This record gives sequence, C-alpha cells and structure tokens, in this order.
Amino acid sequence: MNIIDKSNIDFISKSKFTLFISLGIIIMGIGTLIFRGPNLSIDFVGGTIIQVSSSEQAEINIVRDLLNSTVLRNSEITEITGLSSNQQFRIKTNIKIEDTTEISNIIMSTLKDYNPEIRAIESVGPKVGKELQFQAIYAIGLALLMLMIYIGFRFDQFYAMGSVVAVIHDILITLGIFSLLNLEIDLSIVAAFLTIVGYSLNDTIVIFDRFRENSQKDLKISLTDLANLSLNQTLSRTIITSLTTLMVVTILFFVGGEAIKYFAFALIIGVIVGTYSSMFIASPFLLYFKSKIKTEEE
Amino acid sequence: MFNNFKSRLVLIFLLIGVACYFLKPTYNKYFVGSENIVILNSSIQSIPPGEGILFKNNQSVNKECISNIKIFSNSSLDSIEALLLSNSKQLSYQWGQLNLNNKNEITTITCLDDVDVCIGIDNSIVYYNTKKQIDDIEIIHNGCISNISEGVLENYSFNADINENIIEEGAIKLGLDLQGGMYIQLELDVAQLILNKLNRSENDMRQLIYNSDQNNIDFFESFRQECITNNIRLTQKFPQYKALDDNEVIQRLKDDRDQALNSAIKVLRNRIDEFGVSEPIIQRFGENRIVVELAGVQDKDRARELIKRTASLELSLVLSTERVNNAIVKIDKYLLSNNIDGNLFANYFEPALFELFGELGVSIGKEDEFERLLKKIETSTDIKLDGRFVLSNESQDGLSFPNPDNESNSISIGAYTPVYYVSNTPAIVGGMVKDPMAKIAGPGSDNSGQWVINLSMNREGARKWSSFTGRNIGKRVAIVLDDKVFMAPQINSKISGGQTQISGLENANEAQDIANVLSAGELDAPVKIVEERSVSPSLGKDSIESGRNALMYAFISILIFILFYYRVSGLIANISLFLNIIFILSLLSILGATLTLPGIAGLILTIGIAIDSNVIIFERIKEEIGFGKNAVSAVRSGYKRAFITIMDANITTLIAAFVLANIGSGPIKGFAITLSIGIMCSMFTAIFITRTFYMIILQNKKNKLSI
Repeated sequence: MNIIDKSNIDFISKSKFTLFISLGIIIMGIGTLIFRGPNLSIDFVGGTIIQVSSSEQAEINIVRDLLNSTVLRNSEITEITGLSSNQQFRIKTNIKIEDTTEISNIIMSTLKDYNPEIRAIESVGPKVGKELQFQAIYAIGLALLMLMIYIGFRFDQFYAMGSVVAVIHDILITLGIFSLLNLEIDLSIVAAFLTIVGYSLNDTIVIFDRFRENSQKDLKISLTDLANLSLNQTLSRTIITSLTTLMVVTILFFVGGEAIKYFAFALIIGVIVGTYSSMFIASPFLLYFKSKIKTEEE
Repeated sequence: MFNNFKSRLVLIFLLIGVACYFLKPTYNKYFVGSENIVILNSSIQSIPPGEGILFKNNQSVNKECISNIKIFSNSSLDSIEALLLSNSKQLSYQWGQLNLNNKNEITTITCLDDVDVCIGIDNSIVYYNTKKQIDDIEIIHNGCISNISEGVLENYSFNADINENIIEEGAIKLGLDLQGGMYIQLELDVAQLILNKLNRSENDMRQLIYNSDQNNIDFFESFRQECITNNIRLTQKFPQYKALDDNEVIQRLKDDRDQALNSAIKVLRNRIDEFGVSEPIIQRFGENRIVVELAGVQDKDRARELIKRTASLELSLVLSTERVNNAIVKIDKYLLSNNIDGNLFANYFEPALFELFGELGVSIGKEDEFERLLKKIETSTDIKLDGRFVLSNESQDGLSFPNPDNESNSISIGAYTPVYYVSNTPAIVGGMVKDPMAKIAGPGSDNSGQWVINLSMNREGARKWSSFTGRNIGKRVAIVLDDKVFMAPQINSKISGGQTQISGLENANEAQDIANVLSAGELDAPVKIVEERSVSPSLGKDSIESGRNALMYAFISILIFILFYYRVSGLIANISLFLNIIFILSLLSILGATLTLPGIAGLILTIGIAIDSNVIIFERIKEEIGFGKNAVSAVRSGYKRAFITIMDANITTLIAAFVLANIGSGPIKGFAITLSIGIMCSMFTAIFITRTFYMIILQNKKNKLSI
C-alpha cells in the first residue's frame, strides 16, 4: 500500500511562496512577543501557582470573589479540567515564596465551604527564576551549536547552515504561535523546543541524506532538480512519520493530563512546522548556500 | 557472526530474558500490587481480652493505606471488625464506639455487642479491643507503616515483625509528580553566616555584606569586589583565620560555607527522620543550596515549616520601658535626619498599649513593613542600640476597656502583634540546652492542659541561667526562637538546676516539631526556600492514569496504523516496537531511573519516533523493489542504505536529549532520559530485530514480500 505512488512535485519553486508565509507568521508572532512581552511562567520570573480542587460545586466567580477579600486579591484564578470529577482551580500569585504556608492556610479556610484540597504547589523565588531563564537559553544555544558541529562533521557546512536555518525557523514559529495565543512559556515548553529541534533535524537529515546520495550518483541534473528528486523520493516516508508522530502527540495533548497539555501542544506545532521546514526551508537554503559558493568560485 | 537468523534469534531471546528479569520487580510492584505485612506475632503469650493500643506509626495511617487485617485466634471468633477512622469527630460506628477525652482525642474504643475484635485507626495510632483471646495480628498495607515507634501491643510481649521483603527492590521508581511529594530547594544565607564570623562591632562590614548579597552574581565574587572598591583588608576583619592575604580569607570563608552546608544536611536529615518520611533525599546542590525531596509526605505545610527553621534559640532579657523610649527616639532621629521615606518608627506601635501597659504592639497587617524597617535599621551603621526589636510569634486579639481619665468613653485597641525590645547579649543560647521534650503541661501549672516544651541545660547553661535569673528577679525574659518571641514570662525567683519551659505553642504538631528541631541542632546560618514544587498523592494518581491512558492509546493507534499500512512487514515492525518498550522499561529499571509524567511523555514520543526507523527502511525496500530487485536483494540494500540515514537522524535527537538531560531538573530530566534510552533501544529493535524476522520469512518464500 502506498500513500502516494510516484510524486513529482517541484518543491523548490514553491519555496519563495512558503518563505513568505513563514516570514509572515514569524513577524506576527515575534511582533506580539516584543509588543506584549513574553508570557513567562513562574519558572522564569518567580511566583507561586497553587492548584486547588473542591469536591463541592463552586462557581469560579464566587471563588474569585472569596479570594479577592484576602491577600490573594491580585492573583490570576482559572478553572482547569482534569481526570477527577472534582472542580479544579489554578491560582497564580506573585506572593513571596516565604509565605507559601500562609497562603495555603488562607485558601483552605476561605474556601472551606467547598471542601478544598491543595493538589499542587509550585513556587519559585526570583533568583532561581533568573537562573532557569539563563539555563533555558544556554541549553537551546548549546544544543544548536552541537548539532551544527555534528552535521558539519557528517555532511558539510552548507548542510549544517541549511538545517540550522530550518531549526531556528521552527523555534521562532512555535514561539510566535505561543505568543499569538498568549500561552505561558515554562520549563516544559523549553523542553518541547529542544525536542522539536531534535525532531525537525531528524526529518531534515533524512532528506539531506538522500540529497547527498543522489549527488554522488552523477545524475547530470541541476542542483534544484536534484533537491526536488530527493524530496519526492523521501516524501512518503516524511508523510508517514509525521502522521504517526502527530498522532501520538495529539493523543498526549488530549489524554496526557493538564500538567503536560501545553508541552504536547508545543510538540504538535513543532511536528507540523518541523516537517514543513525540512521540505520547504532546509532544502532551499541548502541550495542557496551551495549555489552562492559556486558563483563565488566562478 | 550474526549472518544467520539462528544466532540472531538466540541473542534476541537472551536479551528479552534479561529484560524480563529486570522488569519483574516493576511488574510485581505496579501490576500485581505489593503487599507489605506487619505481623504482630505472639511467640510467648496471647493477648487476653481487653483493649489497648496496637502501635503508633511515625507517619499518618490513612484509609487507603491498610488493605486487610487478619486476626488469628485459638478460640472461635464470630466477628472481626476493623475500621479506619480518620475523623475523630465522628463518634459512633456500627461496630464500635470511640471514646474521647475532653480534648477530643481518642482514648479507647469499645466493640458493639456482636463484635469480637475491633480495630480502629486514628491518624497514626492503631487501637484495638477484643472480647476473646487472640494470638497473631497481620496487617496488610501498601507501605505506609514504616516504623512502629512505640506502644506495640502495650503491656504484652508481642513482637512487631515488619515484613518489607515484599517491597520490590529494583522496580522503576515513580517521580514526585506521580507518587506525590515535595521538592524543596533551600539556600543557605551565606551573608548571615559571614556576619556571624565577624566581631559584632564591625558595622561598616554589615552594610557591605548586605550589599554583596543583593547582587545576583555569585556572593563571594561580589563580596570580593565590594571589598576591593571599599579598600577593606579582609585579613584584618577576620583575624581568627590568621590568613596571609584576602584571597585566603575568602577561601576560608568558603570552607566555612561548605562546612555549614554539610552540617545543615545532617541536621535536616535528623529532623526529617524524626518526622517520618521514608527514603528522603537530602543533598547539596550547587554552591550554597540544598535539595530536599520528600516522597509521599501528607502534611506539606508542616514539613515545610519544619525544614526551614533555623532552630536558633535565645533566652534574652526584655529591656526596660525607659530603654525602649531611648531606642525609639534614637531611631526616629536617624530616620528624620536621613530622609528615609515612610512612617516614623514610633508610629508603628499602638499608642494606648504603650502608654497604659508599657507594652509594644504592631497592628495586624503592618508586620512586614515593620520588619523591613527593622532590617534597614539593623544594617545601618549610624545607630547604636543596646537591644533589638523582635516580634512575637502570635498576634493578640484587640481589647477594649473603660478610659481611666474619662469614664463615658472607652479605649479600644485593634488586634496586634506584640513586640519586645530584648538585650543584644542573650543569657542562654541553643547550644546550652538539651533534651527538649514536648508534652501537655500537668494540672496545677500556669499552662495546664496546653502543649509545652520542657528543656534542661548543660552545666554551663545551668550555671548561667541560675545567676541570670538570680540577678533579674522581677524582670522579664524573652524566649526567642528563630527571631520570634514565643513567650516573655516574668522571672519570679532564681532558677537553679537549669530547667525551663517554652509555652505559647499552637498545637501538638508545633510542640513536637519545635522539640524535634531543637534536639536535631541549630543551623549555622538560616536557610530559605528558593524553590518548591509539591504534588498531592491524589494528583499523582490522576497523572499516572492520564499517562497510562495516553501511552496505551498512542501505542494501539500506532500498531493499527502500521499494521494496516505495511501488512506483514507492519506486524514485524509492531513486534519490534513492543520489544522496544520492554527494553526501554528494563533499562530504566537497571539504571535505577525515576519515571515522571514528562518521562511517560518521552516514552510516548519514542513510540512515534521509533517507528520512523522502520518507515525509512520499508520505504527504501519498496523503492528497491520498484527498481526491479527481488525481495532478498531489495531487503538487503534497503537495510544497508537506510542504516546510515537512521543513525544520522537519530543522533541529532540524541544530542538534543543529552543537552536537555544536563540542564533540566526532576521531571524534565526524566523526559530527556526516557527519550534518549528510547532512541537508542529503537535503533536496535527497528534495525536488528526486524531484519531477523525478514531473514526467517525470506528463507521460505523467496520472492514475495508483504510490505
């Protein structure tokens, strides 16, 4: 059985159009990121998140009103869904980490009519937040550097540059979409970014590998045709793998629970964007870098 | 050597065997369900009818904890009832009745008429009552009974045989996010530690150390720079080190920091052991931090307060009203002359309280502001005070009374927190006390019926205490614990023998915890919590369920899709995928790794990625067949060509995962580890194992391939 029999799509000629779309999304996303400022979670700026469940039905507005009369008046209270039939609320506050005990006591006593249970507390001091910020940026930078070195070593510098452009493209788009939807960026999203980097490169390398193999065959066709040929030859693999991976991360998104919901969401975007970029960004850029060198040599 | 399928099969089965061997504990733990048994067996005598306490456990025994209680007796028992009572408010059950004392604590239980044996559990104490003679009692629980501390079948010579063999060694551990627990990162207050090493009069250094602590770079680096800019010679400031140069002083201070951290770890371990958490993790983290991980802890507020206490105890003289007045005037003069914004110091105190009773009190809600101002005053070099202001641990209700000057209106004071002005030189410090013991004060004493902590003192302490109390009869002494005054009683007579008592404790837990921290010892410097993540066991259970569901659905949908798309080859890929999961899990067991929710996500992602290797191979074989090759050579060249691609592609994901494993904490690390292991295993299963299956298939029918 075959998803596609023999395709003959001219990917490279469409790359100007796709580059335009990509840039559009990136500009919109990064625009909102600069305009609104990044929506960083307590992991990076410090603060406290308390997850409370109540076995008695409680209107979120009433809960907000009740907590408004306490020191938690400036907190962000949202309702979240979970497995258990109990109602669950997420209270995000910037009250100091020293006062965690006091806050949980206040919540328990203020909401006592609804039989509350504190299910999770996450509290990060401002200093640790800054450190984690640094670590996250450092990790992504280090990963990109190591990957570039690896690809440069296994292929050559043009492949490395082409794939890194694609990977940066993926991160920017995912970041942009998170920013457009005003979703919080926490440590797990950074983990998702790194996973996307790995996945997208995985995809790109399968195509590059074929490109390299074909270019060694001496087929006497132009670089563009060579790239198109490689892309078409690997197309069915690209589609099937994307589908299976997309399938599992979508399941993770719907079934995996509140704690990894946005992590899974980032992966969904990442798988789609990663697949797209390996076809429409990485290969055209590889050609661009290669041809530039060629013209310079001439 | 693996050119024929037989030797390959041997290797595969061998690996499956090894994997299954290492997975057995995990399988038993999570699928069979572990049974921990406490056997209270009487080798010598039976328990005669009567009632008593079976045992006290050092952690709370809850409803889910005990699955069964078996009672063995020579006489025939008509009815045995065991019920778990977590709520002492509920007095009566069908099988028996709880008898409470006037403080609502359970004293005994009574079985109803037709019940022979009844067992009741309240919090951490297991009570029993029998009408007939019994021999052995077997309690089957899920691991919550870790250490039976006292009261094992009170008055009878029974042995408590805690059988923990059944807890599976070598099973995959669940992370705190799955089993519930607390992760706390503590930071040692290095600034305070260094201040303690200084001569008390070095006020200019105070400011400098305080400044160094405000910067976000490494404390010692900042300290060194501050000293250079302020032209301070550390060798003179810290003569006790007899150091040759300032760098050596900093090195010595760093050594002291390390020592303080190590001793803090020891002290924390003692406190936590007393608190009763099984297998706590307490370790140093980075330059000046400690990470504490407590699995399955129920009362998080209590654990948190227990951990972050410094346990510094001081008994200091409360200074006279006159000296208070002087201090307030001095401070306000300073505040005015330095144009420091905000309230004057005097304005913080309730005026009526001071005028009428000579007592200091800050109204509720103003304490934080007040403490911030105190900090400013303490670090200032311009004020020299003979004492310091300390807040009480408890606030007082407001009061109202007739005005002595004008009887028609009354004076009212809102709720406030008392403040004491205590001497800078304590009479007694923590190191001089010993044997702290929490108990309910007996009848006759002032605190009768309340929780108090009795302290005795070592010889030095007793001598000092005796002369101090002798000198200060009629004055008040403040008992200051962790910079809060717990009580400030009047000294009525000279106390010799070194006995003293702390009262003003909120409840039994607080009394026991404070006695615990006092006996575990004081920290060299305060610690503060800089990061905390805690998850309740119920949320953990939900996470396990969601993780398991996601894993199952993902696995099944991939199996169906691949089987449908690749037919027989799909079946081969599916078998290898299944083996892949087995290998991953067994590797996690062997490495002693911890499974977290993101770890399960990593496992799920691996399923998606692992199948990719097979897709690459199968698509390649299809192409080769398209070029007109026969099955055998198509398979051969398919694998050969695909191998390099798979290696290159997977190594990139591995690099990303390795980076992640080295930066992430707890859960994220779990994700990175399962992902890396998953990728490595998938290379073996997707290439080696599927190839073996092809070898077997192509032996029989040479030219047909279902792909």
